[in-house]
Amino acid sequence: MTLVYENALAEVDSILKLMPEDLLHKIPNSFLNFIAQKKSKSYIPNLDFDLSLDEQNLLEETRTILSLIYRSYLCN
Amino acid sequence: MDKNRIKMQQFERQHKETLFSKINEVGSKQFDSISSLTTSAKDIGQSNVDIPNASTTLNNKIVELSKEFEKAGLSMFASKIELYDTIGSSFLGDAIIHDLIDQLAESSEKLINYTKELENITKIKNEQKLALQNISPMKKFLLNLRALFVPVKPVDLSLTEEEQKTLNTALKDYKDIDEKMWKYNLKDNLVQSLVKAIAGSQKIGDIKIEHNYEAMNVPDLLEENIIPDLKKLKLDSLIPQLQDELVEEYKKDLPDPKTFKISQEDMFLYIPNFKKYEKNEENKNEEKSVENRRNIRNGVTLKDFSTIDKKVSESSRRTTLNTLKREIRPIREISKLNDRKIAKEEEISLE
Repeated sequence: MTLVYENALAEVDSILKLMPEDLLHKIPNSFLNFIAQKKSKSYIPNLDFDLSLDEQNLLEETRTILSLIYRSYLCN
Repeated sequence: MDKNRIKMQQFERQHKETLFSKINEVGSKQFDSISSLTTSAKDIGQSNVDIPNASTTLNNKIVELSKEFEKAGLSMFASKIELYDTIGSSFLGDAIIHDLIDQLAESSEKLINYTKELENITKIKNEQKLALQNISPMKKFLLNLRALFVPVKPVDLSLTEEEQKTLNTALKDYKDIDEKMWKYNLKDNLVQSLVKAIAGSQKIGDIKIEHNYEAMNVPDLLEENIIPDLKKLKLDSLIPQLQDELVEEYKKDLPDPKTFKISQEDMFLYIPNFKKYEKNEENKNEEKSVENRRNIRNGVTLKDFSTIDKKVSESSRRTTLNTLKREIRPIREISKLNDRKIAKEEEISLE
């Protein structure tokens, strides 16, 4: 996996930690484990808590992974 | 220059070339026939023969309207289709052009009708002339002799009042359409063009399609292809009228309630339901202000994911999915169930 994806997974991981429990439970543990294993251990996501998620300076790959999570697990 | 902008300009240029060359083709044919019609009409004495060229009117009208589009930052001949990330023709532009072309076709029929009337009357006049010319010399001599004693009115070969009226009426029908085309303007006529384009019927072979667009697709069509352009043209005041007229058009094809009653839930299949967007419009401003106040300090919600999702392209999703698929392997997950350890193999899928 390329470095950019490892960094993106690190960003995704930090965002998932901000999700409410009822939403987080919709994502399979296996996928959460995958993120935990494959994410970059050195990359520190830079989230601004005064901005909305869309306004964050995220990697394009992060946004795409979030979109995939939304479509696969979260929306009805 | 932006790639899309170049594609847009190319598409626009091609569309314009095709359209105007067709109009010119019709125009030059009309010019020839109008020329000879004018001569013939004057020859037999029709008064006030002034025949406009409807193709020229159409050409000039399209040029005029296209400038209005340009002022609003739009093209009448091309637009970007966001859903498929491609360039196509403008829905509004096409609706206007098709409506005007239909009027041109109608004017051509009226011109043909006028031509026939003129030919009929010309034939009658020529026959009368011929009849006069074919009198035998003896008969001519006797008529002249009689004229010495009995005053005879000269033969009048000019158009009778009735003949003038027939010709003037036929010509007026043509000129009325030409004038209608010239007076076409977006404020007064765009709704009629759009209703025709959306709710109009068409025939493909023997099959008649009642409406160009299914009722249930019309609200989305308006929302995605029409309303944004109407707003740019500062014609959003036309939206309620457009919706009302579309509803009336589709209502015409409702089945007789005595034979088939449609439930309220299924009504959207027969008549466009614009209410879902009306409601959203009310909530939009509320949602916008709520969104503006939102930050991730309050956590991340489904709405945040939805906002991100809307801005991600299909191609990006595909690329990322393929990348992740290569990395994802079946993971053994040991889960406790009724105090027994069960090895469960769970395949992760993002599809």
